This record gives sequence, C-alpha cells and structure tokens, in this order.
Amino acid sequence: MTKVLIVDDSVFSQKIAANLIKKYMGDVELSFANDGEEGIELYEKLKPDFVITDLLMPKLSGQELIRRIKAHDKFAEIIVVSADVQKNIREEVEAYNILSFLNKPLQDEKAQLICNLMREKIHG
Amino acid sequence: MDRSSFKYDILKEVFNISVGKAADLLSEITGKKILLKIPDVTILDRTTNNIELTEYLPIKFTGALMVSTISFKENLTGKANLIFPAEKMKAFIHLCLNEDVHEEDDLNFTDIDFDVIKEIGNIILNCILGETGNLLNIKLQYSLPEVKIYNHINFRKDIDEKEYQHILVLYITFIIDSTEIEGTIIVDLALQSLNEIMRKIDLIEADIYD
Amino acid sequence: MINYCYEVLNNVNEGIIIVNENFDVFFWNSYMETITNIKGSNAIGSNLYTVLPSLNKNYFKNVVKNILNDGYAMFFSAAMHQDLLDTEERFNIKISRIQDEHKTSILLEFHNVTGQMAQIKQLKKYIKELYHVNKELKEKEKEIEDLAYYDQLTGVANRTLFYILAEKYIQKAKRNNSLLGIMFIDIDKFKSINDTYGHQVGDKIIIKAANILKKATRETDIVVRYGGDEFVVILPNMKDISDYKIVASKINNLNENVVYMEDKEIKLSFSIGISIYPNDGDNIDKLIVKADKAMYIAKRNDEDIYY
Repeated sequence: MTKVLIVDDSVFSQKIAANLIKKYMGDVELSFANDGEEGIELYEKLKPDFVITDLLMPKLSGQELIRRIKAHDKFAEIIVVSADVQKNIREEVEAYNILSFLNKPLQDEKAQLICNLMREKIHG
Repeated sequence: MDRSSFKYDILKEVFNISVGKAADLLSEITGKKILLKIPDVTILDRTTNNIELTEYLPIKFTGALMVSTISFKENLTGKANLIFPAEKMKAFIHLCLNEDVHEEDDLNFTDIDFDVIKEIGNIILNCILGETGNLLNIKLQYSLPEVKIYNHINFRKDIDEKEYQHILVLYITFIIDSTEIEGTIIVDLALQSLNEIMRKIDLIEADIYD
Repeated sequence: MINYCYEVLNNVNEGIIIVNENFDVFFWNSYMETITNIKGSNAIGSNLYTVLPSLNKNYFKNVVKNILNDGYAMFFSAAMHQDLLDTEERFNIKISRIQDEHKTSILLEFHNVTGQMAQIKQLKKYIKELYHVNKELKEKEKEIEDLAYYDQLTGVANRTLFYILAEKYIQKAKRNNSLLGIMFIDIDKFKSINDTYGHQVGDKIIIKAANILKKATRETDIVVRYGGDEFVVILPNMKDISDYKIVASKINNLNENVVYMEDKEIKLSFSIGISIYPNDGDNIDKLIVKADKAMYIAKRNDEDIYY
C-alpha cells in the first residue's frame, strides 16, 4: 500500500488532489496536513512514500518543509503543487532535488503525470 | 459567508491560484522575484447591516490612494477596484522600472507613471478576474482599467454609494526586493452576480464530494 | 466598405497590426511601416514573431495566447517594456481580440509616447536641478543666519541674538507671571591667561567655557557669548528663585574645569552674577546691569557667585 502525504492549507486543494490520485492510482493510502508544521509532524509519524505539498502555507512554508525533510532523508520523494509558478521560485525549489514541480490548478492531465511518476518510483 | 466553511476555502483557493499567476507574469516582465503572502478574502453584504466599507481597508490606507477600476457586464455585473496607497504605488513603480529613488522624488505621478500603473492594474486584475472566471467556469468580459488618484476621504464617499452592496474584498501582498506592497481589491457585485458565483462554488463543492 | 475601413486605419496615428488565430499577419498599416521600416507587403502572410522577432518573448506569447482564448485586453507600457520593439521611438502596446461568427483575430495597437517620455525626462531633470538649487539656497540662508546670530568661535548665540531672545522671554514671563533668571558670567583671570599663553590658548579656553556652560545648563536655558570672555545665560523656566543655585554649582563643579596646555594645567573658574525678573528689574537692560554688578561683586570677593 503506497502511502502519500498531502500538505496544503486549502482543504479544497487537498480534496481535489485526493480525488484525482485515487482516480489514477487505486492502491494508495492518503493522509492530510493543513500546514508545514503539521506536515513535518505527520511525515515523521507516518513515513510516507511520497509527499505532495503546496508552497505558500501558514506556520511553515512548503520550502522549509522540503528543506527539513530532505535534511532528514535525502532520498525522500517530494512533489510540489503550487499556485506560485515563478521561474526563480521553481528553480530554488527544484534545487532540493524534488520529484516534480506542478502548477495549480491540479487537473486530470497533471494528476496522471504525478501518478505515473510515483508508479515508476515504486517499481523502480 | 462563514469563514470556516468549505465554500470559503474554495473561494480563497481560487484567488490564491489567480494571484499566483499575476505574480508570475509580473515577475517575468520585471525580471524580479516576487514573494507573496497568503491572500485573504472577505464577503460583505451591506443590504442587511450598514458596514463601513473603509474599515475593511488596511490601516495604512490613510493617505492618497491609487485606484484602478474595471467594470464588467458579462456574465457578471460589477466593478473591481484595485487599491494601493499612493506611496507604495510609487515604490512599486520604481521597483518595476528598476529605477533608483532620488531625494528630489515626490508623490506626483507623471503620465509615464500612470501608464505603468495601468499596466500593473491590468496584469493583476486580468489574472485575478480571468483565472477566477476560468476556475469557476464563468465567462467575463471587460476592458482595460481606468486609473485615478483619490484621497481616502473622496474614495470613502465614492465607495459608500448605493451601488456597492455586495462586496468581495481581497487582500493581497507582494514583496519585491524586500519592499512590502499591500493592495486591496474591492469587487462590487450585483446580487445576481454574487449568487452566480456562489452557485458555481456549490457546483465545485458537489463535484468534490461525488 | 472594407477598403474604406482599411484606408481609415492607414490614416490613424497609431501602428496597427492584425493577426489571425495562428498569429499570421493579415493587416499592417502605414504607420507600422514607418515605425518598423517593414513594408506591409513583406509582413502580410508571415508569422508575427518572424516579422518582429523582438516580440518573441515567452511572456508576450503567453499573454497573446490567453487573449486569443479568453478575450481580455492587455496593455504594455513603453516604460516597462523597452525591449519589445527594436526602435528608437517608444510605444505603448494594446492587444485585444476581435471576434465574430466567422473569424477571430488579434489586434495590436502601437501608440507613440516618445514625445511624452522625453518631456517627462526633461521635467525630471529640471526638478532635480531646482531641488538642488533650492537646497543650496537654504543652506546658504542658514549660513548667513548663523553668521548674524551665532558666535563663530563657540557656536553659541551671540549678543545680537541674545537681545532678541531675552526680549521674547521677558514678554513670556510677563504673560505667565513667571520668573526669568539672567546669569552674567566671566572667566576668572582670563586676561592673564591670554597674556601668558597666547591667543590660541585663549580661544581654546573660551570654547571650553562655552561647553561647560552648555553642559551645566538645562535644555531650555540659553547660553550666550556676550563679549570677549563674558557669557550670559538666560534661565527661562525658573520655578523658584533659588533654582539658579543648582546651575551655578554645576558650572563650578564640573570636573572639566581644567584645561591642559602643553603640560601645564590651567584651572578654569567663573564668576557669576544673577538678576531675576521681575524682582530685579522689568526690562532687559536693568537686568543686565544688575547681573553685571553682581558678578563684579562676586569677583571682587573672590566668590563664585553673588546674588
């Protein structure tokens, strides 16, 4: 059972991501965090296979979340889904060696892309 | 609207995405990194309670205000006003044009400044209204913004007219080169239009729980 | 009718390009030919981004694509987009969509703002010059004022300013029924110090004296160099007649009352005479005379202060 942690301060975005992932990847266990801080807590508790995170969040930003997770485990697989699509922000985040960086809104095409990436890694 | 409701969450996220697009375009045009703070939105209904609209403007908006206005008639009816304090607008312009600030600069706006403000207003409002329209599946039609300088007293008078009864207030903050630029967008909507937006949000909500 | 409309467009004072959904040019007006030096016949049929490679920028192409899909108008100011057109002249660009049942096209309008920008640049230059001239003038004004009212050596008020201020403070004391103190101070044995050590040392002593007086007095008190080695202090906010004693004791007890010259120690001491409004007089001349006399008595009696 693949474990995926979704971190986003918008419950709406969480649900969209959840629906789309379940649609394209059946065998998956989803958990949710409402901000970066909760994200770190749940990451340590659940040790998910993949983290899907937003960037702009209260308490702890997505960037900080990624930095901490990677410091802990440099092989952690992280996918960013963000409303902030600036090139320089993207470059900064990609420097952490994340799996993918996608712009919101998340829809079928992008969700399929994410699920394919995750499947590749699992059967890697 | 209940700020803890899911509908509110949807509306907030819709604006979040659209503000992100505006920042991206601005960032590409100016070549500068633009940091965002989490935007916030409030809906006001002035038909039942007589709300002082200017209380919803951030405290700092006490001097001259730069206002870009777009009116739309299809498929929503209303007006969107993008408001920045004049001082901050000056700073915004200097940052966008990569200009140095000189000691002899004052708060007078030249024709070039107005053109720049027209463009910035266009970018921000276009992205926000456009993306919101896309996400909510509502087709909007409108033209380029008009730019005016108000002092906050005249603005208060203008805004307190009968027209502005159903209002969406969106707070956005851009940070460019460590200068914080706070703006407010006041969208005045006809009742039907506000209802239309709510209806679309209901549809999205229903879709999610399918 | 169509040709007539095209003729109108060829006469407007703006560059006009119209492209189809694939961004191929199908109209290029006369003004555009003038701006770019590209003839309509060469542009029409080619792709916009081939004819004008300076427009071939990611954000520009994305914006035009969005306008095609969504129908919103876009405005690019000349100031923010210096590099969109490869010309000396500067243009604001407006882009909008034109759509009917049959076809969709994009209208690009180029509005010349070179004149305005030059004018504004000129204006800004003038403003900058004016600003600096004004600043200089203000600085000169202050200098002249300083010369008239302030002692060049010590920086404290001079005799001229003294009479102006003293009059002001007496009037205020009259109105408020309050006390005003005038201290007349001179440096003990200044003449002999000056003769022994020379004028340069003498000057240093005067400066030291002024500093001591400034330190010993309150913010609101005014130190004046009245003449050679004579100083006056105006004490405007006296609550009680005995208030002067505090100031006086400060003056003579400050540890700095020593000046070191070469390796000699020169001790500074002052003789102070006081007069108080309204007790000792109701105008400045009377007060000065009284204070001067008091100082003389203090000096003769070899005391610090006399009232």
